[in-house]
Amino acid sequence: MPLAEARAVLLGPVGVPTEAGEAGEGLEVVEADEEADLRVLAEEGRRGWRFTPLVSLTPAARPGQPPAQDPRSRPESLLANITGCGHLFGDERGLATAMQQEWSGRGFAVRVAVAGSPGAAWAIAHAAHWTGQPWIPLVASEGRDELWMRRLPIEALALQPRVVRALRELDVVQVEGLLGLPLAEIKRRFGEETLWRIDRALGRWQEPLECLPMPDPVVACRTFDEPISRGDWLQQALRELVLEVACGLQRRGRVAWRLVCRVRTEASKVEPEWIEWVTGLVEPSRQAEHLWELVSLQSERRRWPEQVVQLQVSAEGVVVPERPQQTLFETGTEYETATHGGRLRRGMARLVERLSSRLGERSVSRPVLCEAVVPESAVVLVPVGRESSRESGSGAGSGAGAGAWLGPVTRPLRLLEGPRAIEVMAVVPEGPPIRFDWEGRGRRVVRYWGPERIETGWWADGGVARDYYRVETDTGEWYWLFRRRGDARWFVHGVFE
Amino acid sequence: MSRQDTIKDLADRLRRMERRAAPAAGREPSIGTGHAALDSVLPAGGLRQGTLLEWINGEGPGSGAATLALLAAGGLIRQQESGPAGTLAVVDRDGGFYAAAAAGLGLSPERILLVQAGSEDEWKWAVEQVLRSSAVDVVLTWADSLDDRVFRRWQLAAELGGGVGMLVRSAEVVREASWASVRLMVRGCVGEESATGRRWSVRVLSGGVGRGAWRAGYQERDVLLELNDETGGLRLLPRLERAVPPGVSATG
Repeated sequence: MPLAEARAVLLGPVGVPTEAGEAGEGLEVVEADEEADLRVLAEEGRRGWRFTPLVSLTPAARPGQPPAQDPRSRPESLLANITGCGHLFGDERGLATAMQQEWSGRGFAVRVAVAGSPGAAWAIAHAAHWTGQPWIPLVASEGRDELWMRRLPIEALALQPRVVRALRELDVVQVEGLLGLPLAEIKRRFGEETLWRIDRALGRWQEPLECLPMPDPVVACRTFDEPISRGDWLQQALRELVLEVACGLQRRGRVAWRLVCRVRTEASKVEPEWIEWVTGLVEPSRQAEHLWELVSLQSERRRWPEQVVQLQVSAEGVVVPERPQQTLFETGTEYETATHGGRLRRGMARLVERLSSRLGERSVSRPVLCEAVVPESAVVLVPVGRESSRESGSGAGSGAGAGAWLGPVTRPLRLLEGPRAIEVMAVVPEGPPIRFDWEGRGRRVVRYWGPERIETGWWADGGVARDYYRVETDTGEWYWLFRRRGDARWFVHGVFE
Repeated sequence: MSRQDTIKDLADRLRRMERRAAPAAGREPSIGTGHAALDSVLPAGGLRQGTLLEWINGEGPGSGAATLALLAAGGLIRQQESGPAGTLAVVDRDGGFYAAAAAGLGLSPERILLVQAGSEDEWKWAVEQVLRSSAVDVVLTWADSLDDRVFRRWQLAAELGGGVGMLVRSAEVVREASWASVRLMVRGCVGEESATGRRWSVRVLSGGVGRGAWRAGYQERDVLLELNDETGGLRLLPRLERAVPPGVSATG
């Protein structure tokens, strides 16, 4: 169930929610962060290289079609091609057991299934959960995938939710029942996509795996004889490692998107966990001083842990530079293009990298206007680093102008983080304000514009119902006030600075 | 020589050095803000690159100094759009900058780089960084209290970067020394019932130093400006047009 629906259902019996802060008392709503999930999954996928070099995160989309509402695209599964790897663990069951132990030991609830195709393995692993099978690795013998699949519920085919609902209404609950229906009828009623998903699950379609790239590791590491707690020593060691990594990149003729610094302390020797931080770049680089500047800016925000025994710096996202070196000596202005635009782009990238390193990625953003009724939701901040790393420069501000143009002075330049309750005097109960107190001072309203009604359904944005007024005070200041329609309380929401 | 005399002597020498370093009048043209009314207020007839400007809220935060600053910035950014890029960096400390309002003032959000600094140290550092960058055309920040040394560093950073730094400040800082080339006092004016938008009284305060301060003898005077609520145009009002006596009036 989508978060918005879940929230509405949970809030429903309690009463109609009103302003933020009063709605949802006792209910903690945590928004799903798919990108974070993917990052964790990718990290776990790299651990999977212990078993096989071919580990994939998400399944490939059908050629030419986006994977709409595909349960397979949820960031919860790892797919691994273990062909020829089983004998290293005794057999395939031994390998599956080792996998289960690896991730169970790391605190994950894991189901491992081995089958002849990614689709069948995914289906068996997931169906085991739905059918309440014990938490043991399930291994389908060679050539017996379809026999396994026939016994599974239709959800195992990763069909579109509407198709699953329709099939259940027709009392088709198992794959066996679905496979008994004429293919032409399935295609006519549920579309070609459904047929493709059935083929994918049964391994009839050769599904390519987009495996995590095995990096040519560019890693520098220092292990100290004695634990070190002095920050300046550690800083010096870190600098040497960064320079070493930069040299490694130079030798390979590669550039990196990010540097990952890992610290191991004596305390964590028993439990081999690394303290880790990532320095991301807007444009990939291998310039030693530049990389060190960013790493050191970020390290300023952190306290070195006590008793450090090991430091490691690795380059990730190692790629071939877009424009290879064109002169024998390129010092200082690596890849700098001759055009003014190129210099500006590089200058902006460098600025964003510096700011993001010191302040954090989320602190450097571009606003994007959205089609939202509630003022708080009308602007979304997109971190520039993330935006640029996907599509260098050109993606900036996509969606700008999505919101309707509101006129030069209809919205305040400063929106308070949460509307602040104020005392207001009005001549009539539902009328405009004539006086209000703000920051310990009474302010007399001499002109006003409004009301501008902003209202959402009770199920959206916490059920907002407000009458907004732009008011001009006797000192010539402008404020944005609103009266909440539920209880007629007044709030200041913004200042026309 | 007494302590005061020494300080005065040093200040005079510094001022002379600054004036020598400043470009001769007319050599380095200013860039128009895109609003003739606003250009007529600015001593150089526009914005000078590599300088700082102070926009001082005369009464309180709602006086509208930042709105005027953004109007000026928007004009400059739009002119830069004919080139490869025009960027406004907004360094915000409390996260309240509302880009939807900037869009209303004609500034495309895709031209805005929003930097949110958590602590005061981070904020000072971030402002210096964006001022120093040649990739940013205008920097806007709110700076009620500012250490003189930090102010000077920002001014030097602006010179190096070649952009325009705009500082929105409260009236409490008027008596403090400034490294801005232009200081503008902005007071909101109570509009007439028939007024079509927002009105300000703007006064150029003397006392700037550094590049762009070559018109230090600029006459202080109040100028009345009005931002049309419907067209977004800014016009100069006749000086005698005064604010009406306060009463409540409704529009729209």
